[in-house]
Amino acid sequence: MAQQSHGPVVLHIPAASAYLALTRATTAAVCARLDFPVDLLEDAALAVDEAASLLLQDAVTESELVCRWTPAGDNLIIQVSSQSSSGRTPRETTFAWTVLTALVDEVTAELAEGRVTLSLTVSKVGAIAS
Amino acid sequence: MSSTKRWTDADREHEHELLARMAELDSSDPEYRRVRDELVTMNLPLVEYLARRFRDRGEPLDDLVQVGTVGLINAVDRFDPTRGVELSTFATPTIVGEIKRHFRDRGWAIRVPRRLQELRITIGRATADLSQELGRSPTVAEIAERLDVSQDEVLEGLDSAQAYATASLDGGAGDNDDDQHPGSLQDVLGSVDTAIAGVDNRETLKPLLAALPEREQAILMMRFFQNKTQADIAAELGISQMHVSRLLNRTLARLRAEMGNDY
Repeated sequence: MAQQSHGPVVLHIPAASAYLALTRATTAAVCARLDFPVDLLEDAALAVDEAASLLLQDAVTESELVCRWTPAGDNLIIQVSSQSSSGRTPRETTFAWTVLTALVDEVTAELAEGRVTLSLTVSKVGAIAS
Repeated sequence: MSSTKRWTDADREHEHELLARMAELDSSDPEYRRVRDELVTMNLPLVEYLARRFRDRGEPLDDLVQVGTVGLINAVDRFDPTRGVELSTFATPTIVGEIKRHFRDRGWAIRVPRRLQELRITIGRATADLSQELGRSPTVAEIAERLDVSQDEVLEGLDSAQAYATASLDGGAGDNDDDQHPGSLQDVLGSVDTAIAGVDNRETLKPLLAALPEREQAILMMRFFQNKTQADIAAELGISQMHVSRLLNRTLARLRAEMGNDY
């Protein structure tokens, strides 16, 4: 496949678990376009699923979950965000957080105007080197 | 499991008697039928419980109970009381299997054509071969080239890209894909308590982890607490990387569902 410029991909879905499969499928498709190795792709898909599930627990009912995939050199930044009902970022001491951090190179959480955004960085270079 | 009536010891005792009796009777005997019917009726709550886990997926609950009951009947017929397991343990995978088959046949969401199932096996094999040759996990493009199929087809065949969360469908149903028990499993399992010691919600987590099949526990520990890659785990357990991925997906979905708000 010819390498073209890869702009961000954005997906808006209802904040409901039934739609999580879409985030997985999109992650896989984006990673494939970026020539990520399959194990990295699978981890990334799992991580997005995990991040989205984490947000769903605290998402305002009938709100929207927004996922954005932004290629950046050898990295892929995946941002998942939703309107938080508690107004807090997820605790970083839970099992879910442990899972997330093991799956991707970097995870950060931020809160702005009631929206929690989890940013996952997946690095192609790191994966191949290790 | 709140809606399933707890069985008393007497119920269980009675079930054992019925099963023993059924094993002695000839299947043409009217008494055989009666005993069999009673066993099926007794275990209907199990079918209802399992079927309820699959509701809200676009198929009426009644249909699910019905197909699940077919699974139960098959299990009762095939049950061997000398094997020392409970009927419910033996029947659960069969019941869930029937329900899943129903989704496969009818459900809009998890229609996985046979062609795709075969493709998935081929992809798994190609992934393993290429990993050997390249010394790293191959890309989708590389797999597509090797198999002479499109990248989209490879994506379709990868579990992570599936349109349906087979993860939750499979949760707790047991896994008969391949049942090797690698030697290092016990070592890994021994470290579970230590591994989750730093986790806030460990008290909720612990019993759920303990209830997972050993291999799933081990994979979880290795991936998330020992930071091994899927490929490392695959090599260590002698299964394919795709299978590791599938089991991880499934296990996480199960834990999420079971932990509810404490996840």
